[in-house]
Amino acid sequence: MKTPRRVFPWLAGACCFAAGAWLSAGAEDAAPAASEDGAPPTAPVQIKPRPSEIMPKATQALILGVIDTGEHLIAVGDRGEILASNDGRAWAQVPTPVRAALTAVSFADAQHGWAVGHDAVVLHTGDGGRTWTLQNFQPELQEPFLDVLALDPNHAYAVGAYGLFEQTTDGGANWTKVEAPAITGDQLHLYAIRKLGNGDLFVAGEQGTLGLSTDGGKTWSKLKSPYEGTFFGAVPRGDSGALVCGLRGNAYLSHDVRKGDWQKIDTGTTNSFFGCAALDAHQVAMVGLNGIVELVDTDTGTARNVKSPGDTPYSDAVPFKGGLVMVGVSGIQHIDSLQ
Amino acid sequence: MSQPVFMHRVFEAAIRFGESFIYQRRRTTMTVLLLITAFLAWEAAHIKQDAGYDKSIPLKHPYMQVYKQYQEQFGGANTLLVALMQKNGGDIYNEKFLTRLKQVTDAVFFLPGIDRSQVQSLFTPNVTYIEVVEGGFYGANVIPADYQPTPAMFAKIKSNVAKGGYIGRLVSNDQRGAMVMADLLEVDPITGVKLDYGELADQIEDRVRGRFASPVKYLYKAKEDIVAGKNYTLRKTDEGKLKAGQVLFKKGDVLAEHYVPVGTLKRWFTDFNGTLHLADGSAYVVPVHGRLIDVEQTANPEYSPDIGIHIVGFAKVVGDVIDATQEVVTFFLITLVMTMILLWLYVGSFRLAILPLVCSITAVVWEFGLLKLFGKGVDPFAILVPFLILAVSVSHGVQYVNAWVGELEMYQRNSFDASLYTWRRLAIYGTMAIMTDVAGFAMIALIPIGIIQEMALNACLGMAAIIITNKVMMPIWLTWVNIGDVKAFVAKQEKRDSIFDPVWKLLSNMVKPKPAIAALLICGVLLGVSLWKGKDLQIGDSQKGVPELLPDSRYNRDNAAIVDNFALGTDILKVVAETDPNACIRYDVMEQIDRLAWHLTNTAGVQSTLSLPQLAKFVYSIFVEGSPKFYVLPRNKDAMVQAITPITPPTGMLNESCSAMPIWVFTSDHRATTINRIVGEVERFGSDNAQEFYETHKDVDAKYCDEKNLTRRETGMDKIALEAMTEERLRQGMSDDKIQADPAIVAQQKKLDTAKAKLAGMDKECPVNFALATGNVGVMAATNQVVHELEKRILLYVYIAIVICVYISFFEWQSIVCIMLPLALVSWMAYAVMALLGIGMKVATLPVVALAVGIGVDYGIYVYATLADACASGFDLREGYLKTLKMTGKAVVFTGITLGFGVATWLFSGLQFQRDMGKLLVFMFTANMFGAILILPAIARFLIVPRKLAPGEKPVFKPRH
Repeated sequence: MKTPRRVFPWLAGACCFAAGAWLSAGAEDAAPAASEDGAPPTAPVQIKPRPSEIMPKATQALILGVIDTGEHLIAVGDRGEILASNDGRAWAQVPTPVRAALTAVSFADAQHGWAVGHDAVVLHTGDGGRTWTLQNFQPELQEPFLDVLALDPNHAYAVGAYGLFEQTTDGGANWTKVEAPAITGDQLHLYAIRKLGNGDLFVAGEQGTLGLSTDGGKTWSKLKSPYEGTFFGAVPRGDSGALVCGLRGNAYLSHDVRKGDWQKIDTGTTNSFFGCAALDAHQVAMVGLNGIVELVDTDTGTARNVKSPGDTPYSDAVPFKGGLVMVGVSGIQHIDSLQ
Repeated sequence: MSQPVFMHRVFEAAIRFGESFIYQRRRTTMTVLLLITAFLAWEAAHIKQDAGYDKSIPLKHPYMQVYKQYQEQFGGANTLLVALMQKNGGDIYNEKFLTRLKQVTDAVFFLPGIDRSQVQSLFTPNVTYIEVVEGGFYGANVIPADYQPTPAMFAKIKSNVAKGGYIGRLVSNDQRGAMVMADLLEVDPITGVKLDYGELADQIEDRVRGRFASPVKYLYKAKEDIVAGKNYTLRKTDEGKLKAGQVLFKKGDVLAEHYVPVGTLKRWFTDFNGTLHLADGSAYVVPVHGRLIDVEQTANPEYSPDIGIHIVGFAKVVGDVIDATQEVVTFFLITLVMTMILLWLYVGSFRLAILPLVCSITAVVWEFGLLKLFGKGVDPFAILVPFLILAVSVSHGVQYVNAWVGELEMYQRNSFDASLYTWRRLAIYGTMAIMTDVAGFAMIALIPIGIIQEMALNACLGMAAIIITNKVMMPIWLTWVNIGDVKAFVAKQEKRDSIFDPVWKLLSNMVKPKPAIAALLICGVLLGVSLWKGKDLQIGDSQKGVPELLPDSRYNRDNAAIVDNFALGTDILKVVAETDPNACIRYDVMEQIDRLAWHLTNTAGVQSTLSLPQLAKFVYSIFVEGSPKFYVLPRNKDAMVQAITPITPPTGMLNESCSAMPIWVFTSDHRATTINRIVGEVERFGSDNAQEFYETHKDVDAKYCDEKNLTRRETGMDKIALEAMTEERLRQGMSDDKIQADPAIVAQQKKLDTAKAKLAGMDKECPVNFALATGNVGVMAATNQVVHELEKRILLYVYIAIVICVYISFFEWQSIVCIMLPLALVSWMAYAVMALLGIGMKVATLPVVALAVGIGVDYGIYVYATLADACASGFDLREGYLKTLKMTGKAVVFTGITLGFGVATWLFSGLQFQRDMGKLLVFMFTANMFGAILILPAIARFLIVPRKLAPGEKPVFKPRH
């Protein structure tokens, strides 16, 4: 690995546990109790968050989310790993107070961002990703957050499994449940939350779930879905449009989500797409199962294959310097040029 | 003379007793000896080569108890890997390659000794994948049952391979190669017959490599009609199947096909098994003698030049070493012939020159014969032991012949008297020197590794034989040697000796104070340098690949090809995570295992790891539609059960009760430093993890959990023992009921039940016990630890044994100092030499070092004995040492140089092990020689005080015994 220290020379002792586990709620029934399967009875053990371990092969671990904050790339993944890079090649692991797998990361500006993940973990940074504090940790819930959307330094949404849907309006001091029975009522997994060009909030998830809020998150409605399978990713398009990608090579494009004029994109594959990211106003990159990478021209609605299947799955991607940085089961990879 | 009267009497009695046999009844004795030799030669001719993996394992080591306990479930350490690689680009997904893979899989499956349930390749039923479909998931074999060579099917297989996660394991990283993995069973569990590695290695070469990689094949045809009762002798078992006069095979019938030719010479000792179809349609195998067989060479239709085959595994290493045996023995013979020619030049008589050689070879014949009588075979890795026996024997033989010639020369005695006086002078010292060696070698047997103990036994038997051949046979033979005109012979000797007189004169200066002090100072410096350099000596292997074979040997090239192309290597360490039954469905248990696997993945020297949690994460994500965001261990117990259910015990990832799960650690090599680092990481993690666990689980502590782990091991060992006892009785033909009632079985069953009940009673949860270790690297780790722990102590024991023997021989403390100091110096220097040459201290090298010490003892005892005798006879040091040099010293110099030159030829051997040992032995032979003739007198200078002569008395050399 190329001297990761050069990326963040100030990392050297900048470990912080400030927030600690103050949010971790009652853990009475967290420990596995004696049960019919013959496992020995055990005294209830409170599950405490333990700090992540800095490892040389962190970039080869399961990495699930990646984002360009404008200053650096930040990637999050297994065992509470958060990695930062200035050039998309050399990455430095940042200390974090948890070991749960982090599934997504979102920044409101270059300084303020959140990372979410399993054990209902919410991590917050106010210094561009140098230090992270734990805002939520509920392993007993047995529900992960799967995506996060930072609107501004105070306001963020997080969606997750079984209709988990929370928000904060005070920079993370308090996370509260979002009342959106239309999309959380079925307790389906919600995989993506995005803000569209016109400010509408858009949610995509299991069994074709598509949700929309046109009033800044006060009320939510369920949209008519073009597909009954799962959507894993969403990207805003133009003023009011979006692209959604999902199970078995399905992807749909709408120029006006409120109208619901979904148009199926011929991807030519049955490999699921687990993440999609905007390259520019005209193109979206989709990544997924078996390491597939496709580019969709959202003006014409046509897809072309950039990397054929034959690798481990990707979870997310971010455009960087004319290329693409992909993250997934085998860690961080990149394509130098998308031409 | 400090020798107590009692010992003096014992020695006197021994000499007189020996004389009565050697000189009074020499014909009878010789006849008896020849008869014994003939008998032992016959036994030796029937000795079997006996390689084995299990005997190279230190079974008492705690790691190896883990190895034994889980061998059945998680495979052993004795694996065979066959990799097929496309040579000209292109991937494996085409008809030609997959057909070849299927054929090779089948060929491996039918090799002898293969554990058929553990064979793995894309074509075996234990290789499956799981995939997501709308509304559920689907699992099947990677290669579908309806396999047809179509492009669509190839695409499907390619995607199945990726889905099953087999890239890097059964398919190479770049998908241009595929692997067949198999485990070997050293002892057939049903018949109890031990696997013949030579035979297996031959079959691997013939049936796996040869069949697909040899452009030609060889048909073995009947030269003439094979007729029962005529040129085929009917066996008892043929009764009722074959009739006398029946034509079994017609001239030109093909009896056998081979891809590796059977040598012309070997054909005369080989039966070719032709298959007959009997009247009832069954096949019947008839062995036809090779002299009735003709060979015909044809093109091999199955040969494909564009698919390369790489084979690695212990069985192949043994095979390659056995193949090199002939060459190794040839080098032994070259060494011997060189010794003989030099000896001839030295004594000027062919008859005398051949004598030490004949005696030495006789000693080796006795050694093999006795070994056979002890029920042992020859291990290819112990091939140097007989050579070292030869060397020790030659050393003693040369001393004896030299002394005999000296008797003729100095006292003009006849053959008989010369032999008698030589006997009186050398019998005790010589025998004591050999006894010293025996005591030293016997100490090596304290290392609890089967193969080392075998080598120790082997060496002790050889030494015992040397006493007979060199101290009984040779003296008798010398009495019969007729050197013709004694005067002329002596004149010739004196003339020849006078050439070297200046050398001996020069060397005798060593007893002067200045040279002596200089020599001792140099020794001090050498010792310092050796201690400093010797610290770099590696326990275990210090190089990649198999160090016994040349770095560019086919085996090591095959090994490199596999390591380069696959994520797994040939070097596997398995750490067994032990916990309570069914505990694998608990998140906290799986998390501990997963974290260790991750820590190991991050340890230098680890290529990759594989464990149940890693697979469970994969399956769990499959249940959640394949999303990588669920590529984690679920905290929910039901979800965990779901995630583990598709992974069944035959995969080798967990046991039936889900209480033991191996972490497979594929290492980049098996160098000792790599192994130590990885083992250290496992131990460090285990103790940190336990510490963390005790902090949150206050109801248990280290004491409780250690005892629980011990009880678990005890249960495992008791179970293994019970199974072994039962199998043994089954083999003896006992019925099940009888076995159940057998008191030993009942007792063992009771012991097992008690241990089981105790374990079941210990129901408090403990941290996962990460038990080291199985896999071939686990075995190496244990062996290295045993060697490391015992090597210094054993060497100390060897030295103590030698000290005691030397003391008994002379009853002078000076003798111990004079003999042992040079010896110790050479030993330390040998370590430094090994470190410099990159030779690791391991099972194969340790006995060589210890045996070479034996040669040094011989040199030292002969030189010291003569020097002390001379000084006791009244010679001053300078004269005494000059006399010593002429009497025994020159034989020491001669032996050292001759053997040194002889083993130097080994540098041209095709076996890296022999090359390495050649270098080491050249050093040991010559360094010990210099130690005996340069350092010993320098020390003696300060310790031996010559007897004061009475006025006018002339010193007369007289041995003290």
